Amino acid sequence: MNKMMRNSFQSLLVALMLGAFLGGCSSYKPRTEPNAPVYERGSRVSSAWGGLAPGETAGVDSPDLATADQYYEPDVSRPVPATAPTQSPAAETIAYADNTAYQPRPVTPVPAATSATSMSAATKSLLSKADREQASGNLTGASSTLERALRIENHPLLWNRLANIRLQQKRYSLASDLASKSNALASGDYALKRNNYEVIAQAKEAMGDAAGAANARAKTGN
Amino acid sequence: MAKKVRKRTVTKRKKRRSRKKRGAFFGALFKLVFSLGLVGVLLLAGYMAYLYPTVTGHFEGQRWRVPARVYSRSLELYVGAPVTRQQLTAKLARLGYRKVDNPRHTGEWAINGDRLLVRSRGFRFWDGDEPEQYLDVHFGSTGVSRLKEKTSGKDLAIVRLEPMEIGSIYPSHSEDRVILSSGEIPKLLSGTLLAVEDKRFYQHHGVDPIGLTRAVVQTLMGNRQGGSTITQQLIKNMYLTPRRDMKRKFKEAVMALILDAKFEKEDILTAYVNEIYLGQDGNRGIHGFGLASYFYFGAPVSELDLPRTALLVGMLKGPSQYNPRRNPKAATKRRNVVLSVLLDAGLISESQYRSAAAAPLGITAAKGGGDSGRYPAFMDLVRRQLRRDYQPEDLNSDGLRIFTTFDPWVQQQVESATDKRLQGLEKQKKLPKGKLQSATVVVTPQDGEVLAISGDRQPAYAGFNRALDATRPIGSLVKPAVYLTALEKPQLFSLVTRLSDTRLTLEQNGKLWEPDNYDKEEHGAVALETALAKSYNLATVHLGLELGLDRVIDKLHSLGVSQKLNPFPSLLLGAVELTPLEVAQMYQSIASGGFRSPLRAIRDVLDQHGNPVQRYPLTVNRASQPGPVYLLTTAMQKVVSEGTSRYLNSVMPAHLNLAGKTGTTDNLRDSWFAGFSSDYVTVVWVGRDDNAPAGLTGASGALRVWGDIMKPLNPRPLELHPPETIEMVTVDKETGLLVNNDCYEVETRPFLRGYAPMELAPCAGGSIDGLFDFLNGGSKGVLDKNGHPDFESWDNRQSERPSRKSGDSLGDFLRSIFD
Repeated sequence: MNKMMRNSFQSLLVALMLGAFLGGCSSYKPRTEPNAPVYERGSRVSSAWGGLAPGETAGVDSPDLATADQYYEPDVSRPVPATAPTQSPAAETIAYADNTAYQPRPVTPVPAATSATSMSAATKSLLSKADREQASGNLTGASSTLERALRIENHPLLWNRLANIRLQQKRYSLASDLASKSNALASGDYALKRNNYEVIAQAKEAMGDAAGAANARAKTGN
Repeated sequence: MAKKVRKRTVTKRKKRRSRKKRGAFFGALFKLVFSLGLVGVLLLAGYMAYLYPTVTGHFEGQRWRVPARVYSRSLELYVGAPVTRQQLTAKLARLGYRKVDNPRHTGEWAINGDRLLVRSRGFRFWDGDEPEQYLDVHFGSTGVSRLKEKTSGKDLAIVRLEPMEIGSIYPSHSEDRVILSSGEIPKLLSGTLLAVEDKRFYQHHGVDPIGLTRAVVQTLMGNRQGGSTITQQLIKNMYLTPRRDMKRKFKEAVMALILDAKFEKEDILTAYVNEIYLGQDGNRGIHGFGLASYFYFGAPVSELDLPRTALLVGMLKGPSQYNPRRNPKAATKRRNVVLSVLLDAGLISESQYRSAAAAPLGITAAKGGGDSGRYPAFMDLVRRQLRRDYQPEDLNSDGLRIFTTFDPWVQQQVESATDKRLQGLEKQKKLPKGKLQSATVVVTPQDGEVLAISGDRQPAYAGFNRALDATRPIGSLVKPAVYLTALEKPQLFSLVTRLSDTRLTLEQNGKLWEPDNYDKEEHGAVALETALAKSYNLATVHLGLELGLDRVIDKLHSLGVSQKLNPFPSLLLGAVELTPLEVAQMYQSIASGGFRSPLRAIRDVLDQHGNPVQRYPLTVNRASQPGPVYLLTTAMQKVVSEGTSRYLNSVMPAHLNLAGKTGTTDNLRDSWFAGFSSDYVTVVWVGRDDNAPAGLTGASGALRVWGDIMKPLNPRPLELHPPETIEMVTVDKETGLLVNNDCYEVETRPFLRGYAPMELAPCAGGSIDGLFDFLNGGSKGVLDKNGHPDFESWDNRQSERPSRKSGDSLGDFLRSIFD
């Protein structure tokens, strides 16, 4: 009897395993991931990456809202689109540049010491954070920090720094307008203005506006 | 003997036979039972095999659809921050910080006069982690005067509090949750949970016969008790419908056995903690302890103390019955039952029990954890911006964290001002009650961030969002675009250029159009800035026609009006329909000195683990030149200081130098005011949905609401930086011409450098002909192409004067004055 019982349990187990196996074959696809709920897995963003050109093209739709600055920093782990992008991925980087052929020369930054005298301690600390981020190549982080500083203080040096970053990112039209914005606030700060005109000159040159570039360059004193 | 023996043997044999018979019977019975059992077991096995993929597949593949969470901007603290003590304490309360005498734990704060001690929570932002800190904040008369780290005494340059969660994006009738990982579940919570719901959780195999027996006995004795294990409850919640019958119970038990065999106890417990239903918020089901903690206490689960933990665990029995907001008495009773279970189990001491049982429930009045119903108008804008870049399923399932520009403090001022003022207006103007409607948009001037929106006078109403969807004629709000177009032609127009405010008849669309001033008067020759300040229609129509409708339309587009505009003369008086949001864009361009920043509601998006996904950066587009925008803004300040919006001077300090413009449409249907300080651009519309006359002008309606909103915001004065292209010149008040010492009625006004009037005013010995030259030919200012930095893109080729349609009649008119 004991033997029989044992036999029956064995057959039960076999049946169970067989059933499980068959069931698995029929409907369940084994996963390679661990056997735990997967709420900790990275999120999936199946947006149309690169479907929009950021920045200047905003303003066609109504209501007029900003479009996204997509995050393509190679060193940061970012979610992989689950669905294929509607446009070729190259569009994303091209979308940044108004003219890919042009290589902007680095504009020597205005030393914070000369232009930041009127800045509050909070803004100064953010400016130096942004400078560190820019120096380490984290341009997206630097621009984010500068925008935060601008929410605290509408200071021309911050606009100038942002203009320089956008120039480096080859967003020429935006760089030029940011430099103009800095100029509008810079009143007596001639070092800052010269720097802004240098940004404008390079941006205009990159966009093929030779006259505009010459005009701006004339104001740099070079 | 033998017989006997035989007999005995026979009897024995008989007995043996009967025993044998009996044995055979039992054997047969056993065989039958066994066969049946085997069949049953096989059936059970088959059933288990059938259920196996459902249970394991579903559990393994369990991705809770975590809605995207939407956060406000965060409060920045630094020396000089314009944050009052009241503002910070209100913020802390909204964030679920607890006021104590001596802050020892994260999320606690204390107050001592003008000094606040705050144990801040850490938070991951787009640009990195903000650490937990012990803050020592001092307040002065204008805001934060000192900011230190309490323990070290070191000065802190800048600190930001975590943002407030203002909503989440989930489909209607959906579950919402804040996922906790196994390590994030406090021991206090799991201990309480197991003590109350499933004491033998770590011993049983998914089903607990001992617990079940006890439950049956207790139930028979009259104490109804559940015998379901945590595993069974999880199964019930995850897979099954709420039907209660034996079949379902059986299925539940089988599935629990499978789940327990297949998965770790920790995973099952974690799933339970995240899955279980704990309340309802409109269409939104509150699931899991992570969200429930925010929903009821406004604080993360890591900060929950004993009584609050006991309350949440107690609510499992009946989230609706023991809802602490609706049934505080029942909830308290239930919480204390849980506490006594802990006491009986020896998990807490007698004194812990006593103090916990006497503690208040600790519920926040406002529902925390993304109460989406609270800011429907702003959430609407967020959704629209997201819709461009995300699929709906990304938003309601991937747990994205969306950081917005929303400012709850500003929104609060908008909400508390609007309905109150509208009620007052209805009473004062004897208008039907409840008929007026209103929409408001507040944005920042320099970077176009949307701070607050209301789309209805009842801000929690989630219906028609007038701020985004109600297109209404903007009336005189259009005029700054007309005047800016003029001021960009310095050779023709300055602030003091005389315009003709005389009647005219025009043909439009085959019909005659006869515009008139609001006061039905003609005002003759008026200074350009006066015509704007007093909102003279006739002067504006003359000016706009002289400039050309196409140029005005171009200017409106560069200021941010995106829709196609028809070149009808009535456009000059605002026969163009815009939403309050579009008007806010237009005025943002002006308020920022001519740099349009496309309005943004979202700054950046992180995934649920805090990794950057996407950013919406600050962009600027030059819409005009700084010089002309400076002149225009000066004129718009005159609207407030001496024009149609003088009312503001009676409610707000004059040194704020606010700039703005009123707008009123035909028969007083729409009442608008758009204006700005150096930190806020605010647009208010007041009118009626049925487009019936509201009985209000811009000044008597929207302007009042505007003042009520702006006053408590304590705006910073509008300090204009004159660009270097601007010079100040003293002119005759009467004629706007140059003066000398003989003139007494003079004023000093800004001009674009090189374009101040050259002619002498009559008081300075100039002839009246000078005035006519000025009127007919414009300023004789030198056209200097290269002398001024900002003129490089000016269109100076346009030197010939545009035809003046009513010039002769104006000349006659002026001659009649001066002769």
